[in-house]
Amino acid sequence: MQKKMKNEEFDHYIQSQFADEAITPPQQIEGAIFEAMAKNSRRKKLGVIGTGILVLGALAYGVNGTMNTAHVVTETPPVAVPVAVPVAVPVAVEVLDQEERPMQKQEVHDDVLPAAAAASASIVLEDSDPAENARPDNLEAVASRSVQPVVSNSQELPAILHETDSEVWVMPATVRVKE
Amino acid sequence: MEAADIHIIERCKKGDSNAQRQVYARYSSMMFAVAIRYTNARVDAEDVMQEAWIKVFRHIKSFSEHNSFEGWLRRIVVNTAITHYRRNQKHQFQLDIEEVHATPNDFEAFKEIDFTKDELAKAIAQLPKGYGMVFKLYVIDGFKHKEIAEQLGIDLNTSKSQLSRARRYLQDVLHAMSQRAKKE
Repeated sequence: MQKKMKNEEFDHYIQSQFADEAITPPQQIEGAIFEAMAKNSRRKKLGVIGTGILVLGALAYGVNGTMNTAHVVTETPPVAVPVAVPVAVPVAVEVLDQEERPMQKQEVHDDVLPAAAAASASIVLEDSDPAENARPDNLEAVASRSVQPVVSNSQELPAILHETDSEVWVMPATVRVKE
Repeated sequence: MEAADIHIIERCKKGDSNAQRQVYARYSSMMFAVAIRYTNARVDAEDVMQEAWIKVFRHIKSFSEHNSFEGWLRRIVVNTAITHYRRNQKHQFQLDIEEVHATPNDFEAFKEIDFTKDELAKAIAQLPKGYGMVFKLYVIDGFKHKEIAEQLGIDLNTSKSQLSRARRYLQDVLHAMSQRAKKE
């Protein structure tokens, strides 16, 4: 117990000597500390700005993505109908018959539409004249005429064309018609 | 804690650099003295000081006004000094749990002689690194053996034995100093 007291006494003596110790630090330390802190702060701000830009970019990309998706989705219905586009060939042929003028190349070549390319093709068609594509009388005519002359008699077509007039239009295409 | 201190600390928490400079001006001398005591070298003390102050301002939001701000600062600089010490540690602690007992008359001689703080600081600085670190943490800064053991990564009994050895070593140093003083 006595030994312990002695130790404590000594410890207390030492502690009291160092209780209010103070040594003035060199001036340059303060500058170094606050400069380092300012650097950290700048880095932090840049990090925040960078993160913000990334987030905004990601958001903008996301919004664009959804808008594009929405665009495709909304534009899809007209695409579904214009499946009949290939059927426009006979219409062209009919026009040719009636008015005796050469077919428009564009109309002839729109015959094959792979499923994957349907969307882009439909957009092209819409750009050209969406109103005409969607015209009900055209569709009716197409529907009534069905596909028979085009698909089954593909070899007759050049002959018909040939009869009409000067130019011969060769159509290296297959026409598929969905029922 | 005084209202003015709380106000300055609150401003520091908001990142007010003027308030930070006020706090620095007020406590930097105390911090530097602690840093010097633990490093025994001015250059190292400056490194510790800088690192400690950056920690202070970075973590000041975690300080609660119910505690002593000076005590909190002191803890930070001591912990930083310990980290610095461990980083540069060449002296390895020996796992030695042998207790060195002080005799009842060990400190009798010092009652008659008052050592100045500088003399004591010089004597403490002469302690071997391991002893000195435990002694300073326990005696001057009031750490418990458990905390010291955790901070230094040593066994609890090692901390105790290092302290006993430090006391014994310091007695010898102070005794020699007092003998020299008497002769003069």
